[in-house]
Amino acid sequence: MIKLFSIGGLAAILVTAGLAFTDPPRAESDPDIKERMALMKDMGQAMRTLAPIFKGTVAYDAEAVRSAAETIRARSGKEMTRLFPEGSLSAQSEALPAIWTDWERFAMLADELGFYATGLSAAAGNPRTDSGSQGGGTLGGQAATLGEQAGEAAPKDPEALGKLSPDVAFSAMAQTCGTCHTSFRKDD
Amino acid sequence: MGKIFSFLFGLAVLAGTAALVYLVIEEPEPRLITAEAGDAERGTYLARMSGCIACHTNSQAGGALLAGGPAIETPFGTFYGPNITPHEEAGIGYWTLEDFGKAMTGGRAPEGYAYYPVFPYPHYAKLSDQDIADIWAALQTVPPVAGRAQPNRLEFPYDQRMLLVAWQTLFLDTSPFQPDPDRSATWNRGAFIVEGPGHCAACHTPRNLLGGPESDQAYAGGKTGPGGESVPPITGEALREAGWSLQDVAFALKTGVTPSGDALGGSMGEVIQGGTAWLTDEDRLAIATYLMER
Repeated sequence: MIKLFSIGGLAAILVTAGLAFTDPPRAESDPDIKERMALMKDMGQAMRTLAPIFKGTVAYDAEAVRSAAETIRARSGKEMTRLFPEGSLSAQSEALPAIWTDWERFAMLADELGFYATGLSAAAGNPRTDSGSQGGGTLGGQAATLGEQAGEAAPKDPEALGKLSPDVAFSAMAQTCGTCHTSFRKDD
Repeated sequence: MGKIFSFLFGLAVLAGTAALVYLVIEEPEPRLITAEAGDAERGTYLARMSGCIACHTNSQAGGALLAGGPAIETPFGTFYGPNITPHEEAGIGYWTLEDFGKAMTGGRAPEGYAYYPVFPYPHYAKLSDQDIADIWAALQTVPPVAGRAQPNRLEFPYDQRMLLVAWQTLFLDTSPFQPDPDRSATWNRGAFIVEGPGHCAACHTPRNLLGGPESDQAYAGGKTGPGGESVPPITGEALREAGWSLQDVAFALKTGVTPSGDALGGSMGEVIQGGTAWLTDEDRLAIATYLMER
């Protein structure tokens, strides 16, 4: 039993020690990483404007929605992916190497962000008839439904989105941000 | 050094309890489910609320629905959510509803061995018998898939399943959720979701060295989330301090977007996309109400 205890104790020390190490902060020197961090920040600012509008805590403002959607659209697709040259990682960057092993999906999500942002911009003046919630179906009865991630039910066609409630495009756009962050951003 | 001593002491208690359990004390009894025929659609809603997909589907690698999950790294070892499709050999096709009830409420396999609490059965035990029958019906609609998930890789002494029986004696309460009559219906609905199927505490409440919840630090977050992520506190106090309102919590559970404009990723991203994004606005507000007014 003594051996058992000492191994357990050692494991506890290692776990505790592992938690004590963190990287010291340094200024980012890679221009691509610097630029994409600024790009993400701009999109975050746009989301910060959109969130209370779609949360219903400030009055709906179609012009503000359109302008924030345009900010995001202009930073989606290739405008975003060009700032992720293969292997561009650093201590400051939260990018995960999975970006380059699963580039096709990364690029697809960046494009989809553009479709949804374009759709939101077009839908900004529409009546708000749909809360953009998911729902319904059975687990396997509609296998596509259960396996699918939130947001995928919205049409990926900006023109179709532009005819719907702006909440549909907003939800799909927000969930695209989250899907990409889940797969490709380091969360510490 | 206090940590090591408490670990050693804890291990001794666990070993002692294991011996006692074996000799004297009765283990917690899994519930025997009695329910009407399950409703697959209601069960699907509950399955999403329970987060089955996040752990049992390897979405990142394009794995089939519920056919086995990605690695879940914990301080106790690496776990792989098993195949829970209705496949006869590889999945749970050979189980009965009674077997499923024992797994969900008592953490026991049909063969009798105990499950690790990484499968959050202490939370699923809060589900009613009918809830469990409904989830069971929902699972029957999933296409069966062959192929088992990888076996778990656990560090000694956590690889000793005997210890799990002691763990269950110490930490498992198999009784279903009881509402608090002094609180609102919304608060109670939130309490059921958060403490039950939503199993928020599984990551947001730190665990002691025995893997049990640190009950005096409920929802206080910690440094040892899945894959080594740090987990933020979600107590009412912490949320208010960070500037979150009820609406902010509900909105983040729907869209992943935080008040600062960030979109949540990591494990919480999976929870939102496979789970809370599918709930009703009322249920998300109930979750927020319970967390903020607990």
